[in-house]
Amino acid sequence: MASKRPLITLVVLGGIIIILIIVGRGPFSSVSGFVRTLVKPFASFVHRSGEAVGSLVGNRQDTEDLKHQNEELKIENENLLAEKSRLLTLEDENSRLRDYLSFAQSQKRSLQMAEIIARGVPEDSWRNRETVTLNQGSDNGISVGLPIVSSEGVLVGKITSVKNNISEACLLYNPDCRLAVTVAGQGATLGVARGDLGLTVLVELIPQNREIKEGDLIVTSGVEGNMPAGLLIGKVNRVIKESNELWQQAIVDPSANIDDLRFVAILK
Amino acid sequence: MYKSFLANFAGIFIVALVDICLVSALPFGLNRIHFLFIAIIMILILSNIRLAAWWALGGAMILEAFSFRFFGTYLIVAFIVLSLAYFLFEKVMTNRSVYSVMVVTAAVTAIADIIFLILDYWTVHDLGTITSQIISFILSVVFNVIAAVIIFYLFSALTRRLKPVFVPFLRN
Repeated sequence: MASKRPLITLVVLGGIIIILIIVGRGPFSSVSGFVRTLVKPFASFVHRSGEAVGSLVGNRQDTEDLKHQNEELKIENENLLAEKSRLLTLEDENSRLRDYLSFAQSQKRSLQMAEIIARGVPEDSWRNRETVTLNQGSDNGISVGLPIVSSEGVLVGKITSVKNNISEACLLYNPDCRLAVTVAGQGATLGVARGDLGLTVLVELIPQNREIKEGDLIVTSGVEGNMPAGLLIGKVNRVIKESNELWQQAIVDPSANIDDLRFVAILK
Repeated sequence: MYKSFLANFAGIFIVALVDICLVSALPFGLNRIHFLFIAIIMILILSNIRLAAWWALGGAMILEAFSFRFFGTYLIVAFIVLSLAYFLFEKVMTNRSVYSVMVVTAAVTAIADIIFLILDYWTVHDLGTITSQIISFILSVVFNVIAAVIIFYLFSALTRRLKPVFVPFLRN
């Protein structure tokens, strides 16, 4: 009997697991909700500790590289501020025109701040840049498809799965994170943006007759249900245009620093 | 008895919390370490299979609460890890040395990652290139084995349940 005890233990454990899986997620959800409530207060602290450890053992940039990058970012920031001012003027003009034509005012969206408590999926190192877990869920009005933006209002991804008090979002580098996009200032959808190898963003299915060039700003086109138009994604780095191909492609550098995100805003 | 229960509950909670929140923030490669599975192996060595089964069930249920993949993934994998580790220690390995811990950890990590990949294939459209998956797989096995060895040496320094004859470099 003593020698059979381990086997009995394994059989009992297997039976419990089979019953749990058959019964399904439903009855388990209230228990798992309680577990998440228990874990959440510690989650952000532990995740930040992990980031601190990660920065100690990870790669560090040279001071000179940082200085150079800082100068470039200052110049780019000034250009973006000027462009933002021009866009705000256009937005104001657009708003007045809509009043005249009796179009309904576009809905103002509310923001829900969320903290990143986990990144990626544990089984795949590469996908740390592709998926994040947030500490807000359906109890806070979060639903699938809502956009998530950085503190500068730049799009970084969208919600893909929701539980009662946490949610999962795909980031721009995720190949499954597909967005209808266009060039800023143009109305019609240009193509579909998705992550490419977890390293960059690729806009595909651009018709050959559409004009797109390096430096163009890529924004959401707003054709998706929960995704508003005009959310900045990034700047075109390279255009791939072959005369014998049906479509063009463009490689986009995301404007948001996705690797350093700790908090995001969900647009409801 | 209550002290033991609370100590084990706290241990399961901490290990699961580390697996969910801390590991994902670590750099490439280190973020593949499965602390729950290493803990199950250590409990098998230091205690008995019944306690290891509680750790497997409790830890997997906490991981399921934070998982967005197919329900039961972590429960199934934890069960397979426990069964495989027990089988290897009882039928294949002749002792509880650091070398047997390395072999068992490598085996359970490899099996766990393959199962995760298979279960993910049904739900995720793009798993990346084959090269990236192979590199990820190799790094996972290597880093899990290294972590298991470090934890084994820590335990051997703290407890007498691991005989020094099985811990190289600590012999006089």
